[in-house]
Amino acid sequence: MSIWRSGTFQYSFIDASSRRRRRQKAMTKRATISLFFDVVSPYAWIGFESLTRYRTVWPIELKLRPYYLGGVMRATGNKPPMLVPAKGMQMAKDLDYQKKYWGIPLNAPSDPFNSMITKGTLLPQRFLTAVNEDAPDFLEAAARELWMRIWSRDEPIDTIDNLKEVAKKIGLPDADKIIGRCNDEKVKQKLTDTTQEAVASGAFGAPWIVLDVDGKQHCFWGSDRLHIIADLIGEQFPGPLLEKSKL
Amino acid sequence: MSLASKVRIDYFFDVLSPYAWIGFEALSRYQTVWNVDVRWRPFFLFGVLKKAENVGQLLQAPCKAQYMFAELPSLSAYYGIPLNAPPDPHEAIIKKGSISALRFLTILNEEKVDMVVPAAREMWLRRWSRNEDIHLGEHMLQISRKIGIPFKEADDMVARIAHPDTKARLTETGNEAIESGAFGAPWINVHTTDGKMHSFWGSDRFHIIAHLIGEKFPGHMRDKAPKYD
Repeated sequence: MSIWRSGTFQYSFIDASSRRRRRQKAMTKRATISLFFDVVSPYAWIGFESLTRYRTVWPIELKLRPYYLGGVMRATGNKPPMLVPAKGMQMAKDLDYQKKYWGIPLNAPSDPFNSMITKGTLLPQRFLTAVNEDAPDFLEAAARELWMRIWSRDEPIDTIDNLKEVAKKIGLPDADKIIGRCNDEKVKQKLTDTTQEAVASGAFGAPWIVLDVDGKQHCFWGSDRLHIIADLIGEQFPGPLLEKSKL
Repeated sequence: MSLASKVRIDYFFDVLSPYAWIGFEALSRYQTVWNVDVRWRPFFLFGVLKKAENVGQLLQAPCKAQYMFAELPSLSAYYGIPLNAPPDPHEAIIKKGSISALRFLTILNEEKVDMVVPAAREMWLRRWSRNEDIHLGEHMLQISRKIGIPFKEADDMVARIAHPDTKARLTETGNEAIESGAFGAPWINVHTTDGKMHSFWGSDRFHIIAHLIGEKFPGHMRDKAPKYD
């Protein structure tokens, strides 16, 4: 059999998402960017939207790494910014400017303490960990829909029923099986491991961005270092790239 | 509501803050390509931190302080600023402080406003580049000599550092920042032509500020950096 014929024979059995991944792998990657994120954080959402847009124009591999911010805070002794009243007030104003700049429909939850602290995000972050293992092509959509619920439409994300709604919305295959995996010790451990990996690299907040370029590693806290990252990888930071928005 | 013809940016800073230096150098460059008026407003950061109940943030999570010192080289390299943290930050920042330097800048702002930028820059270069002190009157005289203020005028201004009027003006600037929501440095108040004020914390909001005032975010403008010597 000629190489051409065997190539065609194999190719017809490979699905579209596989082909896309292989094409992306074939592009020369200048750098790898790992985004450690928790859907409790609006700034992590900004980092997520900005990097998923820039992934289409920068020669980078973007790794989305769900971790648990509550675990990071516990491990480092850090506290949420809202505990300083003036900081909390400024954050609300800042998010309004960010909303307009990035075109992200950010709206604070009606009871932030309840959504973010009392209910927390342990279950959704375990869900994202399971999705990342079992259906990684759906990770981006799953994370986005969780943020849209907690940080745009003021909808809960802390119960199994909430996760079922998310799974239905994004068309997640084998949804019940993946949601069931939230109780799997392996999934819980994977979330813990990812969290510890972030803390070991210096993380104390969200988002946490690790850039690997030219044999060096640079770590950044927050969603406001894109201009620095661009310079380090020899690229431009022209702005919000609204035309690349998936919202 | 007062209508102004030009955007005015009030930049509140303390020379003890490396982030305030980064923002200062950035805005000095952006000022040459944006249609804005910039007012440089020295304020006493520790007074602001105390009033906003924001003291001790860096100390509460050691990795946060570690991160700050780890990322400053990336930020300063981006803007081409020769930033070097003092080997003993506690002594430089907490023990020695900047109150005299800020009061001196306050006097310059009233009497020799063109000297505020060179003086502030020289203070940052001393404290945050060459590890030289900035907390005594004699240091203000050295700075004055370097930037070209005549001896007699420098002596006269240094003598007035402890004057109640100088102290009051520095406190007023701090209060103005606090009233607009400040809890850290730098603090940036953007007064747009519709009479509204928009406040930003930090040296990493210039892309948002540019968007707000209808200008382009120019990046680092390293080619427009002054000579840092």
